[in-house]
Amino acid sequence: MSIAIEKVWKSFGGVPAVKGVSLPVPSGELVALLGPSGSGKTTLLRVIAGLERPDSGRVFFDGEEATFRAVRERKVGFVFQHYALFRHLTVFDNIAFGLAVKPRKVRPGKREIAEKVNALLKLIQLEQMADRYPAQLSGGQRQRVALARALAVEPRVLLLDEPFGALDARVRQELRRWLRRLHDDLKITSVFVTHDQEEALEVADRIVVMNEGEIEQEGTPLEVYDHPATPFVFDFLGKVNLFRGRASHGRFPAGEPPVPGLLPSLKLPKLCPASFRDVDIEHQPVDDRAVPAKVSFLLPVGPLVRVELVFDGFDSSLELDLPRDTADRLALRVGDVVFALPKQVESVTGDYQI
Amino acid sequence: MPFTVLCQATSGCRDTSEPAAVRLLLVAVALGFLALFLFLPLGALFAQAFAKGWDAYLAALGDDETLYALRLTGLIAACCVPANLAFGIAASWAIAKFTFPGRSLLVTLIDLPFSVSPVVSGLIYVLVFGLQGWLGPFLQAHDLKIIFAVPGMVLATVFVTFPFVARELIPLMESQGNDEEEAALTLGAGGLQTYLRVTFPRIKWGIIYGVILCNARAMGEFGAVSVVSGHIRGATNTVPLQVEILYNEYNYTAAFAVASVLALLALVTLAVKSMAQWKIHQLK
Repeated sequence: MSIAIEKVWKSFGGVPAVKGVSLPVPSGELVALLGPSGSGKTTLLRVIAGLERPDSGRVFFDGEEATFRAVRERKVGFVFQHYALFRHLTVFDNIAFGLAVKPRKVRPGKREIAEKVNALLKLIQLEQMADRYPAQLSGGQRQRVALARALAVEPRVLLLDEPFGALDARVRQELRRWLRRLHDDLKITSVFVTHDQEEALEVADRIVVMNEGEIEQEGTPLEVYDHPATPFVFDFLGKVNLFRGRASHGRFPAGEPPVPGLLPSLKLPKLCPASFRDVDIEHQPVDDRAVPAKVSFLLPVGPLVRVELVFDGFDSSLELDLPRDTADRLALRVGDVVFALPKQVESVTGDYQI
Repeated sequence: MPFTVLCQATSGCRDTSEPAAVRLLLVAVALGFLALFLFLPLGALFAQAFAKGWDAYLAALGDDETLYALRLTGLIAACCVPANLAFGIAASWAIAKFTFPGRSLLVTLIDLPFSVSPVVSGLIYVLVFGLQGWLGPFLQAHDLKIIFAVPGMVLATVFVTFPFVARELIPLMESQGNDEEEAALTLGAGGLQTYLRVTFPRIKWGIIYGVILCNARAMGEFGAVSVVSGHIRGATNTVPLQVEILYNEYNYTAAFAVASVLALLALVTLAVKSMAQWKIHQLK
């Protein structure tokens, strides 16, 4: 089922949380609402579910207006951030809940319910846990039960609020891939909220980046990552090294003295802040665009080595993560002079300060 | 090094703990205080009640006026508890789950009976419903008796006991939040189904706890009931009032025998209360 949101506004106590957002979600896609906390992404998700009523604007399901439809009539599966499992019910009864509360006429029989629940238990690999209570499960197990409970009623849309937010890094990785596979199998239109850009980039078909109640950019993970439309998206989607210089006539920074050789070939619009990421480091200037820099800080972080470079003529430093083997090959030491070659340079439009 | 030995013997002992002597002193003070002000009077009460033997105890309880007082107390509690249960659930639900104008005022007003002396709340009813009160002439013209009759005693008791259920449920419901109810709604449950299958099982023990406290207070209320009852023997005497009358008549054995019924009620209340608390803790 496709979803369409049209100019939705929602405020709480006079503070707008969502400001006139319009967004189509094509049928069968897995869409991530990505943004920092307070960006309105959860509110938007709750508006789709019907848990919040928008102040103005409309919500369409399959082209039909659903703005005023009650939650229970929307047939959405909602997975809550803190799972919201029924504490007084077993795993089995939690998953069966949506079937057991159906009106008598359409309610499946006890045997059918049991079959369905057992099939879902198998899907989430918790067949042994049917008689446990939520308090007896780990975080990852609870999350899977919450998902199975939402899927039991065969929703037409699956909505997930920070589905992996409360889990530790390894379980999160695992569940992420599991969710992606599950979506590929079931093809159910899904929207999930996250503040983790890596999660959005890895799992989603499309990413909607939100900030302060508005959509900053919308597109496939590659589009959003490679061509950030606004400074905010650029900043949010990855490690940014933003220089407080301005480019002028294709040279960066503008003004005197220009750093020799830095980005002369770059087609930057007149006077705009610029930044770059993905920087190569070599001991020799391999390219005429390479810039001399001094290593000011080194810190091994797991498989990476964090390197801080300072350039003459810049007031900000450049921080980048090198793979361990690259760093080992270069045998970097604090105080070394190296040559940095930015592989990708972004000009960011708009008034942006960092 | 006797303290070190003691320290090793106790399993919960850590280096950060107070010295054994301090711990011993604190426990002794707490227990001593409890013994002096709680167990001693309770023991004295039962000792007095049984001073003239088991037969005298039963005879005192079997007295017609005393039996009537027991029935009346039961009747008043049977009226008050359901009324305050309904009020408490409605008020706590409204306060915990919605925001509405006057919400904080309602929270404050629920505590009013705690802060007002029961005698004053009794007098308020006399002022409103009494012969000289606002509604007095109207009530007399229609031959309705409220003050110095059972209805007035029920009203006064309802007033005094109405915070109990609500006060118990509000923090419980607030701490539980709305998540599970919302989950039930998205799964297709209706309002009543959500209440019966999700909300009620979670607040059940809170309700039981509130009801038992409310009931204990309703049966034991003295001040407010005393003002509106008029102390008419065999008509408006509840158990606490009966205890006072018997005591004033120097009938100590009977007074303490009747009082022991209230004391037993208190013990049962305590037992149910601690069980409810344990269950609530489990559900949290």
